[in-house]
Amino acid sequence: MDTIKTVKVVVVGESGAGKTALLTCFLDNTFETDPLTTIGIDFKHKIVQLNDGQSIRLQLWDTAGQERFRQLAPAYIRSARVALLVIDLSDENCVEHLIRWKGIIDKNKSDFTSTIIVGNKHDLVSEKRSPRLTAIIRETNDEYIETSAKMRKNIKKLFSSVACRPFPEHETSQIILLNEPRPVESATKRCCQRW
Amino acid sequence: MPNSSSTSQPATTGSETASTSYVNYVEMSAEQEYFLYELETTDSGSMGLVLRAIYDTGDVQSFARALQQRISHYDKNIQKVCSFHYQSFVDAMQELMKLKEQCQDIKEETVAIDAEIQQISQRLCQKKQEIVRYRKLMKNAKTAMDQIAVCLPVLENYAKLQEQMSNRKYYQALKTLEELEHTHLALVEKYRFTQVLAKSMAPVRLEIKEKAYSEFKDFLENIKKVAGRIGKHASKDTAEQHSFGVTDAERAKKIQEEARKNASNVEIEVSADGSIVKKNMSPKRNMKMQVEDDEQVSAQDLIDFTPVHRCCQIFNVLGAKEEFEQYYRQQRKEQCDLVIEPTHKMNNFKHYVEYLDEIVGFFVVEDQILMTQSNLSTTVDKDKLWDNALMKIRQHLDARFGGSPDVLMMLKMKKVILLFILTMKSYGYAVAPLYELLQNFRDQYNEILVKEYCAQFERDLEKDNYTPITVNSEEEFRTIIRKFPFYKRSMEQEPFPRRFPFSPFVTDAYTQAKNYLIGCLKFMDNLQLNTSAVDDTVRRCANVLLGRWAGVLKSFVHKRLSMIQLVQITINLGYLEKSCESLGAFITSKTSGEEAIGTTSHQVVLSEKVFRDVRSEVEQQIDECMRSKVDEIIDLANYDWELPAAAGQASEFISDLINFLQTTFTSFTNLPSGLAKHVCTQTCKHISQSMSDFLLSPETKCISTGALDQFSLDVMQCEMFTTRCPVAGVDPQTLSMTFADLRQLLDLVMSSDWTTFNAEYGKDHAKYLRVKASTAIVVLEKMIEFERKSTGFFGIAKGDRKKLLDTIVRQLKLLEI
Repeated sequence: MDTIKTVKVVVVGESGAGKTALLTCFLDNTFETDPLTTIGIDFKHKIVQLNDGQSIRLQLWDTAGQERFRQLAPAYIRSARVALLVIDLSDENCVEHLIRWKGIIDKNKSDFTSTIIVGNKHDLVSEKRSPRLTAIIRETNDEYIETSAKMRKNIKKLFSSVACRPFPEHETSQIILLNEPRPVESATKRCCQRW
Repeated sequence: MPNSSSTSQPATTGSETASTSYVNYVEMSAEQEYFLYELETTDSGSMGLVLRAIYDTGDVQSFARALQQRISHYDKNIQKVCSFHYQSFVDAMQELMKLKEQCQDIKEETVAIDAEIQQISQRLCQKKQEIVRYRKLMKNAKTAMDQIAVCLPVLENYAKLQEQMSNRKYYQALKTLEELEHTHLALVEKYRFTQVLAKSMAPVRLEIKEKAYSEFKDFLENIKKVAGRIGKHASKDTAEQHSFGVTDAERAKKIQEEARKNASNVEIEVSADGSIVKKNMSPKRNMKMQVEDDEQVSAQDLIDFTPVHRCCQIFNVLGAKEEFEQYYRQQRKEQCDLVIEPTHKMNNFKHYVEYLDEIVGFFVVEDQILMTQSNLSTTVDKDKLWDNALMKIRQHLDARFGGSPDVLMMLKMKKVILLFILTMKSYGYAVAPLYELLQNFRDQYNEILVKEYCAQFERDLEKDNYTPITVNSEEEFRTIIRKFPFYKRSMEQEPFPRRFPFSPFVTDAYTQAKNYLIGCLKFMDNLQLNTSAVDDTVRRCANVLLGRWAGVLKSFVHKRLSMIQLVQITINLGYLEKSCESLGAFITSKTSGEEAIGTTSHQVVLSEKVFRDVRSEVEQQIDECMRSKVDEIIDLANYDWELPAAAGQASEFISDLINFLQTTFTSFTNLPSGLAKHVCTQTCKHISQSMSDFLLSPETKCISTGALDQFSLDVMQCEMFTTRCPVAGVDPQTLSMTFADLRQLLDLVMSSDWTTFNAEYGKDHAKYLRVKASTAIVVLEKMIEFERKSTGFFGIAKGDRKKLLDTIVRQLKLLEI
């Protein structure tokens, strides 16, 4: 069939982890060094092309990590096909945040919901990971990937996984990016701030 | 004639001789007689003429013979006379010989007597000689004394002249010289030494003139060096005098101003002292002494004006008064040009202080000279100098500060220029153009301030987190209250954390507005404006800033802003508008103090309406943003219009849409209720319209009954959303009406209640009042199309349904007509 397949994606995580930056990097090829805090929920969508010819529509729901909007997330998690759990690798409490959000997801997700754990701000930390983080990731069946929205690292890989994972017939396919990313910004620019 | 000739002859030679001679030569010719007569009687001067006449007759030989005859004749006569007197001659000779002997005797006797007398009177002669010598001596002595008495003043004055020249007392020397030349020297011109003196005095006048010029140049050089200090003192005097006449009511304010002026003076003094240190390199102690000495004297006392007065007198005596006046004016003009032309290195505040001090000093000196030596310069000359200088000063200050972006420097310069103005005014110079300059600077200064605060405003907009301020303690709460005048009685009773409705942007903007107003006020101190003028000006400045801010906001909201940003901006704008009243009170407290009460009715009103347009703009952006998001979600709709049966629950995109709306409207709780209701209503209308467009779109060719059922379920979800009062204050009935048209259409078609529809069409209380026949026809035709497609697959049994629908369509078309 030539019909467009749809994947509903919800993005959750602690405030300031870089959820919106990930989406903006993927959608617009841009990186905001001083992004606004997301309030409530925001919606974006994009149709991507797989290298095997299939078109996938990604519905991207960007949620607010702040406490006062936290109760809104479950409804979206329940209907999502893929839940992205974004943690800030440079945050010393990222393990605690991971545990809490994973609890929320596991409690609310549907049978068809897959979870991908995203370790963001990869560019700000060394290669060594804390043992607790490593242990939790090993225990879980969820996919884990490290990204840097600022450096545009692993963004394509992440969203290829998001687009293809729900469909066994496209297990090994990749997203074809229609636009090349912009040049990497100067290293002297400020690092993204945590809120 | 012959008779006459005969008469004259006896008179000279005796009658006898004459008669004889005449008678003897009677035979001569008359002409020859005439010629001989003429020769005898004429003088030697006419001899030539006679001889010429003789030669002209041509008878020279004849005349020569006649002449010879007369000569012989005369010789004969002479011999007769001698013979006649011979005997008497001899007698006489004998008597003479006797007399000779007698005389010899007398002579010898006389010689003896003379010798005797000589011998006797020799002593007497000697005495007489002595007397003559002594008398001559006395006379010479007297003459010498008289002449010397006349010469003495010359010598005295000459010595005096020399001494005065040595002591550089040129005026006295000149007076002495004048006296010498016109009084004393005239009396003794004949003497050689006085001529030498006179010659040596000729260059003295010239030397005096040159010395006078030289002294005057030294004077000019001296006042040039001292002008800065004179200016400094004059400015200080002005600053002190300016506090005179302070009324009791203004005392506190004046004291504050005085403190500011003192600070300003201190700056000036430090600069001047620093300059002195650089110039003199004096030990600190001496410098202190010098400064202290300067304090004791007035500006005019810093310089000795004697040289200029002396020069006037000298040139007056020299008769070169006009020359000196011209020289003076020329020199002062050149000096003025030098003073008002700043050095090339005018690159910091201190240099400008020195520059203006030099100018003040120059004109103070000029004013002093005019008052004490009115013939040397005139008021017209002075004013001409000042007018020219004024133009140049304005040019230089404008060139340097006209485009200056440094508000602090402009404030400093304003103080300095103001002090300059007051100082020059106190000396009678016209200062109106400088006040104009200051007011131009004020306008430039305010423009710079506005630009700075607009840039800050934009930065605040960019960096705001668009989240209501949350405070967790009483201390934090008080901090916010102090920053921004927000009063809500119940808020103080709320437990922590407490939330203000506005974001940090509001407190920042309010603080910036107050700082801006304070900045405007700083420039207007002492600008010769009364209290109400200052108040009005500051209020106009405030309105300018608010207007600019509104412009910045209007541009800002056209960026890609999120819904929550727009919402918070709207809320913030409400509080900014309310704060205008507080800003007005702030201005009043800064400009008029308690006196403002009486003048409130005349105050320029702060323009809170400036935000009205931008508020509308933001609200429009909210509408557009909401519509855009709704459209994005509705684009997810993926209706299968040939669905055989409904899924039994709403479509996924509708569920997502409603979740989104609930989330968004939750954040609307702080919005002004009117706006929240408006956005909610508009959004529901938009959704309803979009859903209708789905159903009626030409792109949808056929619709199955199952598809209609699913569509109806989706509309039902929307209707349920409207009845849950998503925004406080919205009337559920009113909001539900947004889907009423769609609901009636669906009910009509799904229940096939065509009999009722046809019977009631056009009536006021029809059950399906909101449905147009044309709309129903569109839906029915899509259903017919679906039936037509189905017939081919499922057999003849469906044919009857198609016929029925066709019949209904025909009936509806009749209704349309």
